[in-house]
Amino acid sequence: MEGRRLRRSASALWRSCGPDVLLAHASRPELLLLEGTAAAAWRLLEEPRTPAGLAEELARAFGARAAEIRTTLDPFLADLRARGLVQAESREERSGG
Amino acid sequence: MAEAGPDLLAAVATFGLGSDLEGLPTPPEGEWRRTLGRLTFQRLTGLAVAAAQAGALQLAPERWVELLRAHREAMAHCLTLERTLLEVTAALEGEGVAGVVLKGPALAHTAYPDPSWRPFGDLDLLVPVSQWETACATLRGLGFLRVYPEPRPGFVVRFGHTALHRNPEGVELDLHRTLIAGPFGQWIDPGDLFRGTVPFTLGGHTLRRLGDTARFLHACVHAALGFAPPLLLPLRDVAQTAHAGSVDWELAASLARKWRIAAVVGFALRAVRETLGVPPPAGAQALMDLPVERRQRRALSACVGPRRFRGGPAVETLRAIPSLRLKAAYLRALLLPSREFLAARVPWGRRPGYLTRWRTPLRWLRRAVDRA
Repeated sequence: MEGRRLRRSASALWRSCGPDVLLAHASRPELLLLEGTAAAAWRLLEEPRTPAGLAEELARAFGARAAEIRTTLDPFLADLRARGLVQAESREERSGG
Repeated sequence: MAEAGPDLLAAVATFGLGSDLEGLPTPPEGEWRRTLGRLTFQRLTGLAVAAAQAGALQLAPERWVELLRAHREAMAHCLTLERTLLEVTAALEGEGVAGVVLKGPALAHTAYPDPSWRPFGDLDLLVPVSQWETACATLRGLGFLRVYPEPRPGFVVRFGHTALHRNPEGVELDLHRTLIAGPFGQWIDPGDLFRGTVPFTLGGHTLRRLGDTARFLHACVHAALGFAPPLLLPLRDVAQTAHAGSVDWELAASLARKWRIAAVVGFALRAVRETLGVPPPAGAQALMDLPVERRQRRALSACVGPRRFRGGPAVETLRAIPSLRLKAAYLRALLLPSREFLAARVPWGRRPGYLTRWRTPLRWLRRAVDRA
């Protein structure tokens, strides 16, 4: 799973609120407010990325070490996956099919 | 220091159209509360946030935080509306009803570079007249209630343009038969609206919206006739759909002639030029030069001038209704509506009754007798 790229789910509804992001699933009433690195991570997921690649990008943007970023990024991504807001790319998507 | 008013708000409303390189006026000291209230009322928080992020609108840090808070509330409501829209369109599709999304979500996701620039407060869904009852029943099944009763059964299908529905969450949905109320609603052929609709994607679902040309014409109709004087975001919609979409200007002119809305389109384009300072695209000139019949001018004046609140649109609608039988039905519905309608529409502080309802026409009658 570590090497698989993640992408935003098609069921995600979201809006930019300045630097923040407001996020919801199309079939659930909860709204999530993403701030700081979480909002930046969501924006970076416009392109499918591996968690490691995402952490590298965030580390560059926020002037931190990728390993430090991973300590909060991994649980965040796991939460988004559990809520159906991001998903791992399928084999067909990876091969461009 | 600039006046906190139309200039600043109009400048915000033009952000992103290419005219904001010099920066926007600064909100004056002591006027921020009022300015923020007006930005929120005019649904311009998204454009204001974008302008501030681009450095075109200068805001003190505490004002930026307040603006963001107001915008976040607007966006949270939009996401709730979009979730409801997906539920409603799926249910309608299940009943075989071909709904077309109008205004808010359709514009936000397909006309603007970022959907957060285009807040909306309710949903608008156009359905074919032949499927009206099925659509209403489907909405009832989803927990929506009709907010206002009809003056007479079948009034909306024959003469009206929408039926406002509300669900227990407070989401308001306008079910449309056509684009606008009044005389122009009589002249626009709803059948034309379903030809040339195009798909767009929302939350992983494919929905339908008006094609770029009809979308531009609808933006004009809504900006000109929806509110008097026109609100800034509907005017921005006109500029946005005219400049960002691929409008077929010949088709636009042909539909404007057929629907007798040339006067309305010209009014909207002039309002965009005068209020926002955005000139119409070259292709739109032919639209502005279309000949306008006297009845169109009279209808427009009744809808945007002082007669708007003195029964003018109803009189012009009566004139626009094609047959004597239908005119009689329209008059009967307006003069002798159901008791439920009277009770729902009675002005605050007055008792429901036909005399209150007849006040305006009786005044006309008295004036006519005096003149005679």
